[in-house]
Formats: sequence, C-alpha cells, structure tokens
Amino acid sequence: MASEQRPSYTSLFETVRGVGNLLAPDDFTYYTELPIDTPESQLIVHLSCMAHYTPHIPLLAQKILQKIDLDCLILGGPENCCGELHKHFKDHDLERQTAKIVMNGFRQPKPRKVVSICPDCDEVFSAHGVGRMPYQHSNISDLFIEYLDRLKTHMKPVNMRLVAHFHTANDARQRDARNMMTIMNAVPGLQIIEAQHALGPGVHCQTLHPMPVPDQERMFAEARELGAHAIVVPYHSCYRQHCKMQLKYGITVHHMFNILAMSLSIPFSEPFKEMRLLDDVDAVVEALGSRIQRHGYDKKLIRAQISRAIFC
Amino acid sequence: MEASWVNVGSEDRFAEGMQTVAVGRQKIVVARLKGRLFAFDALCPHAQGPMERSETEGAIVSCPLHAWRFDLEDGGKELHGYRGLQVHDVKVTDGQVFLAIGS
Repeated sequence: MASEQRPSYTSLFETVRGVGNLLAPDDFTYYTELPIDTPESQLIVHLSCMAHYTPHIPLLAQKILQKIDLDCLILGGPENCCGELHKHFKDHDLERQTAKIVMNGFRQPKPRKVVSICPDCDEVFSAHGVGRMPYQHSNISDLFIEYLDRLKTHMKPVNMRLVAHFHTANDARQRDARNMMTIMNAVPGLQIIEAQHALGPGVHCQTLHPMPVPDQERMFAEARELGAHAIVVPYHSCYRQHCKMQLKYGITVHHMFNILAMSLSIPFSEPFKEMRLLDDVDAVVEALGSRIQRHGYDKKLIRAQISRAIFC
Repeated sequence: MEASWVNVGSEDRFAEGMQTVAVGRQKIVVARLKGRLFAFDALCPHAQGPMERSETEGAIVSCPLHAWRFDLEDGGKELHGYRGLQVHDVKVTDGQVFLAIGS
C-alpha cells in the first residue's frame, strides 16, 4: 500500500496564515512576536496554529476578560506553534526546539499566567517542561474558573437546553470538562441535559483523529431526541468538526465562550461556522472574494487551503 | 565592509540539496537547487531554526520551524514581510566554490 504523502510544513503553516487571515474579524489582533519594548503583562492567551480557523474564540476570550477589566496579550500565528505539528510528523528535535522557543518567548512580558486555547499545546508544553517556567500555564478554561465569581455578577439568563460534549482522555482533559460544566452551570437560565453519547475520543476532536462519524451521529440524534437547542463544546477543534451537523440535525454547535458571551451581552460573529454551513467550497471562495482580493491571494491556492481548513 | 571570498571546497562536494559549512565561527548553508548554487546563514533570523532542513520551492527556502519563507533570488527577502535571511554571493572558480563573507 502506498504511504500517504506527508504535507510540507510550508503548506500547513501557509494554510494557517491564509485561511486565518480570511476568517479573522476586523477587531481581532494578535502578536506573532512581541516588540522589544512590550510592557509587562499579567496574562498571555496563546493561540495554536489551527485555532486561527476559529478566531472568534480567542477574540471572545479577550472581550470576556475585558468585561471584568482584565487585559491580556494574545500571541499567535505559526510563529507560536507549540511543536505539535512536528511531533505528529515525528520530527522530535524540531518539536523540542519549537516548544522551547515559544515557552521561552512567553517570559518576555513577565506574565503570571499563560493560557492556551488548544489541548494539544497543553500536552506538548507539559512534555517539554512548562512546569519549570516562571509562569503558570494551563488550558484557558482554568482562567475562567479563576474569574467566575466576577463574571457571574455580569451574567444575564440564557434560555437554552444544552447537551455538553466533552473529553476524558487524561486528568487535564477531565479537568477541562469539569471546568466547562462549572462555567455552564454558572450561567442562569441554561438547562444542561444529561446525555449518554456526548463523550469525544482522545484528547480532543481533531482533524487527524476526529470523533468517528457513527458516534457523532449518535450524539446529535440523542441531542435532538432530548429536545436540545444546542451542543456546547470545550475546544476549537470539536467546534470545527461538529458545527456542520447543524445542517442535518438543526442543533446549533456552540463553543463554551459563545454561551458565556451571550450571557454577558457580548455580540459576536462566527466566521468559521458561517463558511462551513455554506457547505460548498466554491460558495466559500465567492463569499470571501473581497477579502481574498484584499490580501492578494492566488484564488486556486486559497481554494485548496480553504478546502483543507474548513471542509476537512 | 568589503566581502572576502572564502573557499569552501570542490564543486563536486555540493550535490543537489543542502549542507552546512563552517567559515570561521559562522555557519553557512550551501544549497544546490536545480543545479544552481546558493549560500545563506544556517540559522533562521526568526528563531534560529535549522535552515539546512528548509523546504524548497524553486529558489524560495522555508524554515521548517514556522515556515518563514525567503527568496534567495531577492536577497533573502522574507515573503510575509518579516526579517530577511542573510544570503552570500557564490562563485565557482577552477572547480572550487567560494562564498562572499562579511559583505
């Protein structure tokens, strides 16, 4: 059997840059490198590569924090890759170098805490000694637990019946699942329905190891039977895999920050979902036409990138 | 400062692909790409990635760590607008490869 040809790092990172730029809301800004004179900052939100396909998630994190007068630096782009891609391709020396670069880069503004959007980043950083760094590192869900009491004072009811999708592959992911439930339980008006088929595989639902389709169908069919309006997910990657199911089941897929934003009266758009629900790569290319033109992207190349990033 | 030409070996030493040579304390990649010789700093100006392991597309080399992309035919210009890569002139005289260092 012929082995699958490995995509180049160039094509993977260029897809992150290209599609990330096309989907980024105008008010979403982040640093790829910190200027030398960056002032000290208590908090860094770290974006992994694929998290750029769902930029509303870090943007919402920032806006939610602003609601309680907390500021953060967002560091992202391929320049802040955690090394997971190199790990996947078994380039372990490159993985190690990449992880060390980004973990050391976080030190510059002397943060108290660094939080990552993606669980793969958590896993890679843990494996490369983030615990020895002079800052705390955790998944972003921890941060919202830390500030939940302050957030509660701003919350308004969200009247919605939800099924919660989650992962339990290890202690860290179980912690994230508990965090999401704690955050959701703090939102007044939400009704979280107990479901039997909402457990995702592995560390998270990701492109290379997605939730198997039969399991995904069971989760949505059950949610519909239970009268759920939505399925809430803890990770950007689960959101990416599942949001297309809205077309078949009429059940909305929300990242947990969407729900939090609704409760905090923070308006938001969901560019990834809007494009995915068009369900046709050419329709997406057309919808993004003016942005493609503004960035000067080659239409054939960006079509292939969109196909890889949005319809995988 | 005027460049000085440094002999880095016989031309047959540099087959298609990339290899790093030491010139004093400086490490330089000599690349033969589709028959043409290029030379550039061995460490990416972004995060010191190993340019010897670059991915190539014509005369564009991409660092394997984060895919900063440098056009060797345009003075090492980075294609996203980031810092460029130091490239060195190369000449072959009597079968020997010389790199311009210190330009």
